[in-house]
Amino acid sequence: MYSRLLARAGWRFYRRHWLQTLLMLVGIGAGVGLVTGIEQARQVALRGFELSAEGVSGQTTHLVQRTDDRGLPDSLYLALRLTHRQRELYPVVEGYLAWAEQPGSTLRVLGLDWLAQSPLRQDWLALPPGQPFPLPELLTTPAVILPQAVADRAGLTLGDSLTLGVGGRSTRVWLAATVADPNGQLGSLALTDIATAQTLLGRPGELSRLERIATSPSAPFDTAALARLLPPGVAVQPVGVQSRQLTEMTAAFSHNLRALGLLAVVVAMFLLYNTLSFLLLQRTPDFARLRAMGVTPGQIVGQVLTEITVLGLAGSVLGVGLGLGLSRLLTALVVQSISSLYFTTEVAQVGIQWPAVALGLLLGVGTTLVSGLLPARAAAAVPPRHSLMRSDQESTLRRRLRGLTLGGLACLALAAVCLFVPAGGLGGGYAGLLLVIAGVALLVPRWVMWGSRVLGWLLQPLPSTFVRLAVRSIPQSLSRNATAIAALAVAVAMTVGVSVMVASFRTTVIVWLQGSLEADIYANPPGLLARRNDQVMDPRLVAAARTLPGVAQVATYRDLFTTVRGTKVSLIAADIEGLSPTRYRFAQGDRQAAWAGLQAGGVLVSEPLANRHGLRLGDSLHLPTDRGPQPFAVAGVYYDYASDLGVVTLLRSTYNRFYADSAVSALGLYLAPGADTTAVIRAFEAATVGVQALDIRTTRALLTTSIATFDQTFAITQGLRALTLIVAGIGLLGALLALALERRRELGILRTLGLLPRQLWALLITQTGLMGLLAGLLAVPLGVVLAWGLVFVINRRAFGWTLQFQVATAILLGGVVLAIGAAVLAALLPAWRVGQISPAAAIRYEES
Amino acid sequence: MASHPKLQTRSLSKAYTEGETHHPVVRAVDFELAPGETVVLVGRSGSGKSTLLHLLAGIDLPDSGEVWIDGEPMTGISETQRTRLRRRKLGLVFQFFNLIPTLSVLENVLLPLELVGQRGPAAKRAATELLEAVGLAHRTGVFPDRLSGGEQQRVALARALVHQPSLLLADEPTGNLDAENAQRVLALMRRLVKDVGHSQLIVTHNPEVLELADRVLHLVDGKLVPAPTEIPAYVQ
Repeated sequence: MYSRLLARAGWRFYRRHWLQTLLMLVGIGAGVGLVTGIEQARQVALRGFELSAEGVSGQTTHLVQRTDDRGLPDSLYLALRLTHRQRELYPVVEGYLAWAEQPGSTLRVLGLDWLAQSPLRQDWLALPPGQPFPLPELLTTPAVILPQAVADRAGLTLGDSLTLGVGGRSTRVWLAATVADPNGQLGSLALTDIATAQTLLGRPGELSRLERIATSPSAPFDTAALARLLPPGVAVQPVGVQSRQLTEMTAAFSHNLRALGLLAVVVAMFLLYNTLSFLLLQRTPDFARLRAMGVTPGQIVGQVLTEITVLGLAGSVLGVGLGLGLSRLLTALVVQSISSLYFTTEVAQVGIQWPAVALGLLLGVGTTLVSGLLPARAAAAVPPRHSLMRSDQESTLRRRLRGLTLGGLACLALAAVCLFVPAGGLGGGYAGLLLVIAGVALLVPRWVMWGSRVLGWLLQPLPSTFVRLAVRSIPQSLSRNATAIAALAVAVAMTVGVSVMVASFRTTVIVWLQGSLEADIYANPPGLLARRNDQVMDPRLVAAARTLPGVAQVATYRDLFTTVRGTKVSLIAADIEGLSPTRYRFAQGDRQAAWAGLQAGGVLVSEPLANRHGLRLGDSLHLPTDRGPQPFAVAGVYYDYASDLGVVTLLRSTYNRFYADSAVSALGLYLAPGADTTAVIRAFEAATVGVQALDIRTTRALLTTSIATFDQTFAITQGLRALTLIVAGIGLLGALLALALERRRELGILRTLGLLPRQLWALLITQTGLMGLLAGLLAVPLGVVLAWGLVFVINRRAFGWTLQFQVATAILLGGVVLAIGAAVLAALLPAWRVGQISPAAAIRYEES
Repeated sequence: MASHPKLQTRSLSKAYTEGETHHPVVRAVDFELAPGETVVLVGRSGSGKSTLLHLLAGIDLPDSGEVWIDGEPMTGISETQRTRLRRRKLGLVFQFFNLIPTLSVLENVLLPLELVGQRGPAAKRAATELLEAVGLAHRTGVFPDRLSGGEQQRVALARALVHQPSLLLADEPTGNLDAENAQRVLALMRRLVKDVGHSQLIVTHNPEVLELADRVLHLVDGKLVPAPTEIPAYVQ
């Protein structure tokens, strides 16, 4: 039976304890905000490339494109449309361009055949009234149409010019018209004619894709008939397939982002449990009075759960608001990471992503309810005789200590199963890590008992009674302190774990780069992707490189995306014959045999690709080529950290047999003994003038750039780690406030005995500092175990990488210092409040 | 319809065990309380008075024996049944008032009515009348922490009586009050309970409470014993 008065009594309690309630709401909000923010940012970033994968019109039903990322020849379009009367196919040239006048900005250029696609102009482009469609300008001059908002941001008016370029070429174009885009659906789109787009992107005679735009929604379309007309390596797919492929490419990245957010929620859960159980414990006398008056345990549990649900909902709503604000910050980091790692994308203008909001609300309310279940049960179990005081709760915990320890050990055993049995997959890996955290959390009460005993023994020689008092009062309030210590330990362990993982990853990548960068100088056209050479080099420069004085040998690389078993992977054609095979370190196969297999027409596959598809030495890998799908023998599996999507490497001579493509993406220059590196670079730079700008770097410079790129892609991880610590800090502040309040009577007695407020303050700071020390000492081994799981289980299962494990002493010491620092910082306000206690009021506290 | 005793116990016993040691607190207590009767229970500190009262109120369970309230068993039933019986039949007054701090004076008094399903203007009228009777009609919106001890106990008395219980159980109702406030509460207990004909059992050390008693029960080491000829030293 619902009781209005019971409800009113409950809410007034929270209002009276507004600071603790507010901190709890902020704690829930921060956790939810993090998850919602990450999810919203992810959706915004993914939406950026979905824009390019959806087709130019809502009526696009199919896309015709290559299985790799090379373009289609103009001639194919003409043949299909004119000879085979495929009148519903329209050509599209698309790509991203750097905007010289707006450093750091990119535009998505979309080149269309405006004569063929005239109907689009009406249904798609909303030109301002009175502005004619600039068809002659588009067809005869390098003109572009921009969304009004993009033009406004850059301060452009009609007739102004802008410089766009990629791959070391840049072209001036002018603004011929603007289109209204009130919802920002078009993003940073630059519409132009096909020919202009081809010039801008450096792809003369190439189309990105053909789009089939249905004349009516019910118009039949024979895809099989069209497929028969297409050359090998070109496929027709329903619209959306590419979008799904791109989503799959970032799946592991997305899972890891989500997992980081969820870890913050786990931390928040510990702290919520602590705060809720304390808040409810304060109401124990009220519950006993109500029980004596005839309120049933069911009514109490119902009331408490209602309160918790409403609080969870309020905190979650706050969190969703925070998250949407936070997503603006996170979006830039996510877009930066995706653009560095996978493909160029942009910050799309999208509205609130309701799945992200729903996830946040669900997690917030769910977490609060789960955290509050035990405290609610305890509240309902309060007997009406009002004798369940703190001492009962402490003795209950002490009785359960053995059970908790055994439970913790059982969790750790189960965690080992999840982490060591590969069949569990990524989900099993994360479950294993969560079980490790849960197991250690259950061991915390025992750890606090032992740890404080050891601390007491170590501090015994000190003359100060207060230090001893500070140590002894830690196990005294075991039920409360153990939860706070567990929460802090988990948050710090996560920081230690992620730091060790990132450091291990970084060391592995540096060692790998140092081993694989064998040439003295590297050159490539500047692209928008940090980890791929997605641009093509002018053939004149390739020829020029070979004749440069001081250059002994030139290795060429062609880098493009292809499709293996439905997923995108990098294909690298390397002209490295005559060079040593020492650049590769093999996970399967020995160097000499692999080299021989490569020269015999086989391929090398990277470790992530082999892991994902279960490829073994000698297996046959089918690749789509210009001569149709062809089998290639796997000659070796090598370590590679450039792409989690996977890399297939073959010799240029093999590539040339199956692909009608002479393009080169990058060069490696090997200098003759005694040659001056700087002189060679200067000579090569001189050769590029008027042809194509190139990034020409020494190996050392490339190494530095690559490490900077690595650090950039982990910026979001570092950011999330800091935010998780903030969540923990807020929760810890609430928990310590609660502890201080709970010890009011005891502290009041100390005041009556003559302790000064500042001495009380120092006592509390000392105690929380020692609690921080206990948390830190536990966090370090837990963090190392989490790092081990992240390196050897999560990274391996998500990305397929084998990393070296590097544990730096500085990180471990930093963990302990961080735990002590966080605890002391969070204790400042509670300690100050304790100092204000009136002794008389405090000793009356339990009677009121 | 046959008239039941308002309260009846049979061989009521309770002991606490600490390690190997067994401490009997209430030992085979048998007594009845007739309709309209006021019984005062006295005894030394630690004699088991409060425990006996808790057993009678069903907020603690006996090791053996039975309790009936108005003919309905308080023992041998589920916790929920016991709670429902308590909310209908009993009014409780404690030494430390035990008001709900987050409810106002009026709301504290309304709560027992709401628990038995009485809401709305009629309930509010009943609560207000009772608050008038205890002299606190002007403090209905005030929260307990703003009241003096005497005022808090008067609210507790109103709260215990508002739902017309069969029996009022009071544990040291004047134990935490000064003489003037104790007098005032006792006067109210006489006027609102005894003179109206309600039944009540009062645990006390206060000799002035004996004036209310139709009968005095003495508890010594958990057992009811015959009344001594003089007022014992522990009633003072």
